[in-house]
Amino acid sequence: MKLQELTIYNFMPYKGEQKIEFPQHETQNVMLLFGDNMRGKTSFLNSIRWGFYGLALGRHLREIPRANLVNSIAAANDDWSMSIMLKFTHENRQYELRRQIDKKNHVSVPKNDGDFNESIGLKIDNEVITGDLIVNEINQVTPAEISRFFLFDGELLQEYENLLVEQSEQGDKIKEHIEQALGVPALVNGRNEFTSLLKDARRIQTRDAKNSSDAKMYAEQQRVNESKQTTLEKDIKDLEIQQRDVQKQIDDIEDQLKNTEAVQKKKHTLDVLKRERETIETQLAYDADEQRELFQAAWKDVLFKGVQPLVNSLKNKRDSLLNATKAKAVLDSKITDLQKSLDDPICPTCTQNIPQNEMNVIEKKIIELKAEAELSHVDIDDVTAINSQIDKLAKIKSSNEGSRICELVTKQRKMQVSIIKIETELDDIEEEIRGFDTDQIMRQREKKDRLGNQLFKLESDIKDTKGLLSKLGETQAHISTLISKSTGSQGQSSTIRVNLYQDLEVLFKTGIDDLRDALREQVATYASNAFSELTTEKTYTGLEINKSYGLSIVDHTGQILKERSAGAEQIVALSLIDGLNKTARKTGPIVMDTPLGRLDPKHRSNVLKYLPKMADQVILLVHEGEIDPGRDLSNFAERIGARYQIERISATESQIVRSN
Amino acid sequence: MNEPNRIGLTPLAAQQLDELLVELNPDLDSKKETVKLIKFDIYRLAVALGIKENKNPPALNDKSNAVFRVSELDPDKTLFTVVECLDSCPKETSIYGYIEQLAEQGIKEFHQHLQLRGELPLTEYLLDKS
Repeated sequence: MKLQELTIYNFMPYKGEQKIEFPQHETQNVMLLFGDNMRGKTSFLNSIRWGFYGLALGRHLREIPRANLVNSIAAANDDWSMSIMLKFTHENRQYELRRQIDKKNHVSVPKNDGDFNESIGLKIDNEVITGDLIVNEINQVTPAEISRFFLFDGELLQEYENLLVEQSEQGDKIKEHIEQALGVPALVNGRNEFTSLLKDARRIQTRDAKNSSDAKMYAEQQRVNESKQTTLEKDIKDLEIQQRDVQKQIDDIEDQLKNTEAVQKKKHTLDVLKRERETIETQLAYDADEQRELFQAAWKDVLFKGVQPLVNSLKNKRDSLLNATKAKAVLDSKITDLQKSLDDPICPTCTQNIPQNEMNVIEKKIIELKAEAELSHVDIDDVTAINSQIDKLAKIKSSNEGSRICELVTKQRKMQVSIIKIETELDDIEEEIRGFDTDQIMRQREKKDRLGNQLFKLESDIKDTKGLLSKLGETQAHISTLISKSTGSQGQSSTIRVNLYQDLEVLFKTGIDDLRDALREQVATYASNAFSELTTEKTYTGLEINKSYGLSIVDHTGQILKERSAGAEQIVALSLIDGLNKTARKTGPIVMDTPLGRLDPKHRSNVLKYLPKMADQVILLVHEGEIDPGRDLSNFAERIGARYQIERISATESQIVRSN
Repeated sequence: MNEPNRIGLTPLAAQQLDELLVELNPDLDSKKETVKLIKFDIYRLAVALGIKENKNPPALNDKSNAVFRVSELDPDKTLFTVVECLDSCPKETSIYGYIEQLAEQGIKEFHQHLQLRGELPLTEYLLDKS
């Protein structure tokens, strides 16, 4: 199958008619549709899905109601008509498929799916196909079961990780989808049919055995077992109902939480800011305490600084008094020496009499020195008084309380500014989340966690009960054999029937296992080939598949890699998709929404080189963060057949325009 | 000059001191154990700042409520010694009388600043400008 043209009318953000032509060239087989988040990439994918199958999927693979599929602006103008037309070729035949919904005449504003009429038309080589055959024809070309592998939402890649967790409900669901696409259900239904027939046959055999004396005891045991089997089957059914119910509750909460993600983030910021404010307030109170403590002694610090000039001046005064005392002592000594000369006027050096004129000079000098000594006279009480004052003032001690208070005041100002900023931010956030019950959101998160635990327990109970049922089945088979071998039962039609159904059931079981093994092996081979081209780590030897189609990376030592990065998960998931796609069908387009989100540039480059080889037509719905038009396109420029861009008209309207 | 045993403030300054105390201490309903200031703390700071800034305080314009025992306010006579050493006290005024005047003037200034600015400009008072 090869897509030729898609005509969208009023589908989700695409108001009015928009036409997209798909590349037809054999090697230029890639179409790129660029669009920012929230502009309509997933809606584009859904338009193709809805065109083929009348189904558009939202998160958790939930069906989007018809009323939400009609463009909201058109609907506001009372235009409730929406249609998708797909032109494609398959095995040299030309197909034209048109699906449309319109509001029913008596409905003013449609709310439920039932408020719309849906019409579908198909022409093959211009020949109109009648109603009942249309779905059959579509399934011949592209069965709904395998749409998951060619209409691929990259945001669901994460779901494939669940396949690694065997027995998980999500994993089982995906495994079921995979096996549906790969054709396993035909055998599974056959086996189930024979299991049911075998159960009936055993009941009849047990009834017949009651009349046989040697098999009577076995019949009673079989009756008890049958009753146990019914109880266990009922238990499993009940547990599965509970499991689905819990899973649905989790999905619903996840949806609600997804819608309030921004509010949750704001609430988190709010809590962080409140804690920050509390910390600052505590620090402020602590600092205020310290400030008061310092205040109590601050007067001494002030006095200490205030008296320093006085202390210095007193010390200077004391020093000059002491200097004067020393100077006077020197003068007194000189006077004494000169006085001796006057008293005994003989020169100590030459022992001659000092002449009178010299004596006059000495006398004059003594008078001068005495006058000088008189001026240098110091009253010792003055020095004592000064020392006493200095000692008293020296008792005033400072621990720099003033400077510390100043530092605290500066710090306090900064903290108060921070508090004002925080409070402004808090007001803004509170205004933004006004109307949202944030406590309720938190409660929902807690509830989701509780339900997760409950789900885990249910899964474990189901596994245990299935184990018991399986053991019981073995016991029943054994008793049934014993009954069959008992003399009274041999040759009876009920025994013959039991043996036949038992053999057929085993045959189908073996067939299922063989088919599963073969399919898994094929998927693993294709996926490993894809992986070797996609991964940048060339020492990995390949991928190993588990019973649920989960793939693990095998390293060069043959060991399974336990921890994988988000990018590696995406590469493995893409390899699986390729493996499944190639196992399920041989040709056809592949439409991928946001497939490169978590990849580094090297992996992105590998994927971009590989994608054109994944299918005859590859339609990539990407944003510029995934593929940089200026840098990444060179990796596969020669493979690009068409390039489109989703342009924003308004929050609820987008337009697809061709950009090459 | 005889030194008084008690000194205080005029009724106006006493009331202002009470207001300062309320302002500087934490809320009454604060349950945590906190450091609380008493009147002496502000009184002494007012005197110390007056001394440091070589203030020349006027005589009190009203009768003083002499509620502070000198022996409690200035137990080791630090304030007395400083004023005495500085010799800034007028001859006709006792040293503690002069200290009272400095306190009166300082507290009134504190109160005025508080009224004008909403807080005490502690950094202005305490910043070491040297």
